[in-house]
Amino acid sequence: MANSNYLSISDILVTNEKVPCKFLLDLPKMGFLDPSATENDLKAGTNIEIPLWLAESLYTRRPPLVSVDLPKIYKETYREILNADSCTVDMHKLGQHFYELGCYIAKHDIKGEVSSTLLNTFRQRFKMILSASVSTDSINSVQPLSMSERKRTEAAVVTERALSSWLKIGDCPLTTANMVANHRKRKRAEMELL
Amino acid sequence: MFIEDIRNDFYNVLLGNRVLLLVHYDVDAVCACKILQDLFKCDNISYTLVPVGGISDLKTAYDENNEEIKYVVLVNCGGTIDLVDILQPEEDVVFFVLDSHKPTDICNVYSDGQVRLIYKDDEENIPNFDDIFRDDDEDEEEPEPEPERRSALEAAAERRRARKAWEERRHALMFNYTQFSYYGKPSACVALEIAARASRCTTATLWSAAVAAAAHEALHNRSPARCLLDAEPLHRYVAAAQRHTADDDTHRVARVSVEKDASLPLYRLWSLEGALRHAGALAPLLRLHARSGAARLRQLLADMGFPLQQARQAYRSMDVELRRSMLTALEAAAPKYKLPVPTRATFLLHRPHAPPLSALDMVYAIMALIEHETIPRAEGFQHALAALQVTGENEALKLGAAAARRALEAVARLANSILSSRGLMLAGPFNYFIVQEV
Amino acid sequence: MFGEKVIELLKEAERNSDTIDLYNDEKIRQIIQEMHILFKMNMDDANATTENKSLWTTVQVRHSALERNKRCLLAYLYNRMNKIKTLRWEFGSVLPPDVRELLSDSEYEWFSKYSTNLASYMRSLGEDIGYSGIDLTENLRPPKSLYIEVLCVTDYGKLELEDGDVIMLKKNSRHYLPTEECQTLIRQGVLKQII
Repeated sequence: MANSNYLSISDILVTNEKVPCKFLLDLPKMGFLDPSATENDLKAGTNIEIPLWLAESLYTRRPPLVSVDLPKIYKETYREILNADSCTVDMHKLGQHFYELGCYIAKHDIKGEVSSTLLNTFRQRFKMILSASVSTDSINSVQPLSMSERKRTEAAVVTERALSSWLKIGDCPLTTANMVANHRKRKRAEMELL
Repeated sequence: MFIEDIRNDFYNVLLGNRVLLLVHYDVDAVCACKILQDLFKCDNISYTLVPVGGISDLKTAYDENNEEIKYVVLVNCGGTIDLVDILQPEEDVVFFVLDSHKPTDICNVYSDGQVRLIYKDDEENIPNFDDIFRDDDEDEEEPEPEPERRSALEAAAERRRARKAWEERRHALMFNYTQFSYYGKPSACVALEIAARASRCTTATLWSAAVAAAAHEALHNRSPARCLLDAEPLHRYVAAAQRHTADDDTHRVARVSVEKDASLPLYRLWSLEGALRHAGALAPLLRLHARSGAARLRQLLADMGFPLQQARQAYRSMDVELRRSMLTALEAAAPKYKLPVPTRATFLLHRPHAPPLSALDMVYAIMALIEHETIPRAEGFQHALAALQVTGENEALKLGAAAARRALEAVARLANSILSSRGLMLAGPFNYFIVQEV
Repeated sequence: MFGEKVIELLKEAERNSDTIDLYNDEKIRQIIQEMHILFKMNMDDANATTENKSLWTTVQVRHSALERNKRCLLAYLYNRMNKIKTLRWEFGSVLPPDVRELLSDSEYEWFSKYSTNLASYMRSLGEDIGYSGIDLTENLRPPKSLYIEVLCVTDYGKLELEDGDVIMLKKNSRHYLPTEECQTLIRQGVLKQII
């Protein structure tokens, strides 16, 4: 698989999400993939959830070993909810990696509606991210965001703060390097635990 | 020895050298230190600043930092002790002492150049050198030639008698001199003088000096008349600075002004009722410790024409009309309750886009920061320095004001409970009460 | 299920994305062990496919798992490498002992080599116009003034300045020092700039 994210940890975590699949061929000795199965072999036609990386890899074989189905959040019912008002959806619960997983899943959607839903969702939720990044009680507003949204928000908060302090004082003081500061913080936390 | 010219004999000597700055934990010292720091920054004098809280602190701070240091400036510490004896410095180290604690140790006064006192207070009756010091070599030559033995004996006895008289006189002089400890002119006001001589009198400098002057007044370190005299040059500089600021600039830059203001602690950062209830000068006269005290306070507010609801909410969100009329209302209502005049001329700091700040509030905030209940003293000192800045967000001030309110509340609570439980002992000229340590 | 251990490993690394963790020797050994077993099983089944054609699907599944494990391990190492690079820039060429012990031996070797490479590159800068190199780790932000005021936040000890003066850095002491002398210490969290 040609993938520019080959070494990216976050991409690895995304591809670890499970997707529902239907096996098209028999798999001897692979019964353990299906937690409800009792037999040693996995029969063709079994529907189980397997990690995306496995599904992708088996799907691309010639002939494909599996057919990939949509996870429930990308299905018709949820798509409707998302298109109506995506801001009400708690992405933290429903899809930690909503957008990233969606990009992988989109090609298995025959009607091609997933991609437009993704775009739409982000458009609607962007306002939410924006307001979360300038609000002071960021804990509450960050709660229902997905992982990547949260990262964007955190970055936005830092930038916003830097900008406003620069506007006020007109000088950015030299600061402790990130990793040094975090290392200290963690050590202190560990000390306190002891 | 005393310094003649603070610019040439003190400040110019420091130029281009590294300086060790030892500062005591008190409001005046923080202010003076701030002024000196700003001066040092202007002239790129590199310095090391260490706050000290006692003689042992002073010794460790000096021992740790004396490497390669030729000039030490002590602010509000070291004046009343024999520095050379206690710190055992190298020959070429020079101490500049700016200390408002009095009396100054006599060894520092008559040191020949190693200890230099920056400011000479005219109130101090320093004994003359000859009355205190005397060469004692003659006493050693006891064995006299035989023939004139008798007259020699007499002479020796005479000498001894004279010496004894001198010693007694010295003792009396020293006793009178060191009997009472008191405060001199605020160090920050002297530092202001240095800044003015160096033509570096900024708003920050004026503000620091104003806070120090307010501190000496609020803490009754000096008699009111003395305080007025101390602040006199400050008034002049403030007026001069006001003249120099162009009219259209007044809303864009921070400036210090002298205005009539209520001498209620922290009322701008509190509620009017809260400030009245905890004002050291008013609360006892309103007999707030008694059961009828609360009613009397409400009566006072009613006389002033302030609804309770308004008086209880934060001052800054109080009705604008009420805020404007507060001073006159308070002045008018005070005589009825036999209160002292509740207003006086105060230094105010006007900042752009922020409410004015009174020097008195600053004093309480700085004291609270230095003696904060959770923050260690050395860290509190850093916060106190930060609180003195005149521009930008002042987080340290908020922290200090909150702590000061808590402190005032605790003091008022304790005082009220003592008075209402009749715990105050009357013992002749003293009233006393023993505070239980928790 | 395949590849669970390796995901644990990565999640751990992701959780502390701002700091570096202890090199997880034990877990990595387990993962490689797992890969060896998978490979062995695949070899056996691949040899058996001549009789049992249906086995090739199983072989493919295992092969995917092997590739997945490889990818995850590489990602783990790669991410650590990037962090180690950052260590060089933020902590300087000498790591504090508590950070040093978080690295594996070969990682430390890499760190030293990177450090040497960086140093010789910095020395070579500007050689052609007569300068003896530039310290790139300094002045990451344009300096605003020659001197800055700093507060010492830890008991550091003595610091010798370029002009030979020695300064005692003790907690809660303030200093007014040349900017270039304290930049590194500010980045290392010993000093804090005060505006």
